[in-house]
Amino acid sequence: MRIAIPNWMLLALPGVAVILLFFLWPLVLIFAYSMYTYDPLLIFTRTLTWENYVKALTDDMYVTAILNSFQISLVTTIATLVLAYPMAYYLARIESRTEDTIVSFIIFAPIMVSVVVVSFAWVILLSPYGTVYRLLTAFNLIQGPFRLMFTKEGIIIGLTYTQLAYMIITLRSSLERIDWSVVNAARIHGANSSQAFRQVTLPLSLPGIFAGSIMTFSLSLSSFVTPFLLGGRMIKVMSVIIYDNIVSVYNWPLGSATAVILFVISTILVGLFTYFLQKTRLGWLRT
Amino acid sequence: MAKDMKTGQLLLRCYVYLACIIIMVPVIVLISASFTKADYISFPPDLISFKWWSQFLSQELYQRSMFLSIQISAVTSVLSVLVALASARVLVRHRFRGKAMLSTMLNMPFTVPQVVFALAALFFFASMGPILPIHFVICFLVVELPVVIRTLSANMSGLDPDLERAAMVLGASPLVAFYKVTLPLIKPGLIGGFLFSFLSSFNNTTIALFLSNPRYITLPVVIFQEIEFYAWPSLVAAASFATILSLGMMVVIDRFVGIASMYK
Repeated sequence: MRIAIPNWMLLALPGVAVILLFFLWPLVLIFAYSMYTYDPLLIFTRTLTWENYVKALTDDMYVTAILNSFQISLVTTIATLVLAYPMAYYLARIESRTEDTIVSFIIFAPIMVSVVVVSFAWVILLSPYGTVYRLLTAFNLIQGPFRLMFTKEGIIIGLTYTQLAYMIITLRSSLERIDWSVVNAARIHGANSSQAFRQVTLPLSLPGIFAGSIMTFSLSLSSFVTPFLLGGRMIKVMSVIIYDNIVSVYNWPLGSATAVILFVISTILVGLFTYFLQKTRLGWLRT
Repeated sequence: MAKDMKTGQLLLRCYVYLACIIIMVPVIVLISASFTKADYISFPPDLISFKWWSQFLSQELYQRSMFLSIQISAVTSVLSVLVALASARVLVRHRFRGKAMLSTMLNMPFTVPQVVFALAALFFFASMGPILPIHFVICFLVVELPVVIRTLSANMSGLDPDLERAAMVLGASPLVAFYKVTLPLIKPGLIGGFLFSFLSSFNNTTIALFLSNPRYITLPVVIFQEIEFYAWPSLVAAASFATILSLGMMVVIDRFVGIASMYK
């Protein structure tokens, strides 16, 4: 029996080929490398072992990196959510088209400019005698030494700056879907504006809050350039450890094992994210 | 009651405007610092001068990397629009078993951390020989595909399939019908997708960093490495150049598709 393939099916071929050959197959390679044995001279030998995973999950430096990643991403997510919510709320109810365009443009600027450039700008601002320091001393807000470069706080500032746009757009979509007559009904029934917000608007936007938070968390966890440039050699996160293992230590198996761990964590997060999106019926991730 | 809503609205508006100003600060500091006359980064600049810009533009490494970045991004964006156009067509116009799977599959690069994919690509290509510009193109194509497919699908799903049918009834072949009827209608999506893909490839740092070598190195990677070496004077000009280019292209992309729709 011959299965007839309609002509239009061929159109899907280039896309499928690119993904299979240049995306999925290389990812399979990482799984393979993560099981190989490290060899200082040959980089690796093809003897299979679990040793890399044991090291990536128990060694002090690696455990610290995983904890750093989670801590930084968690604080970034909370900061982003708190900063983004009022902006999303404002944009969801905005009336002027021109104002919408201008505000949206500014909000998207940080993700349209290269992340290396944005991080560099933060290096200038946060460096020991940088702009922020001089501003703070000019107003007598701080005395003594000032340190944000090469700290977790510095990384969190840089990440929050870039994540803000993603959070705002997710929250905005979910807020725009709210039936505002429900909120008005609460007001008519005597709720003051803060009660109406806390008991009606906020619960209705909860799926959007979850989706936005999971996305921010996942993007922060897998970010590389910002933590590398703002954390330097002092604060290591998972992605930086992967880079170090590949570029400076040449321990490819251990780098791969760390990459697989990062991959698994982010896949779980993406699953959760999609789940909450389906709850809000947003378009994200569904083409 | 009406009064507390007014003050609430006002406070909210003040907050949003303040946030917008703060968001612009890093960009403004960077660009204005590139025009300073001093030999260190100063904001506000003491005296206006173009010396850092001329230093940046005259350095061989910057010239070479910028040229390579432009070449790679141009090829990537053409390819990504073509491949995405074919894929989007299948996803929008046809119903078949495994459609959801195809859609998920084409979207996968979007959900995998770039540092993980960068590593995978390095292993894959390095096992076949030295890393060449075409390898950058392939990797960027993989990463840009989901976004361009999304843009084009959104554009195409708004079209009435009867338009093409009408053209075919009147004697046009399917290809001519597509070329003469559908293509002009999705032009904004095509141009928007092309420019967005160009800009993202041009700005990509993580993947480019893993693939770069002394022979083939892109502009963001040079910027990345110079930050590590504190080679700041011409670096500020290079970073400003990338910023101005990005913001300029952003205005154009916004004209065609709307920036927000790229992330929806």
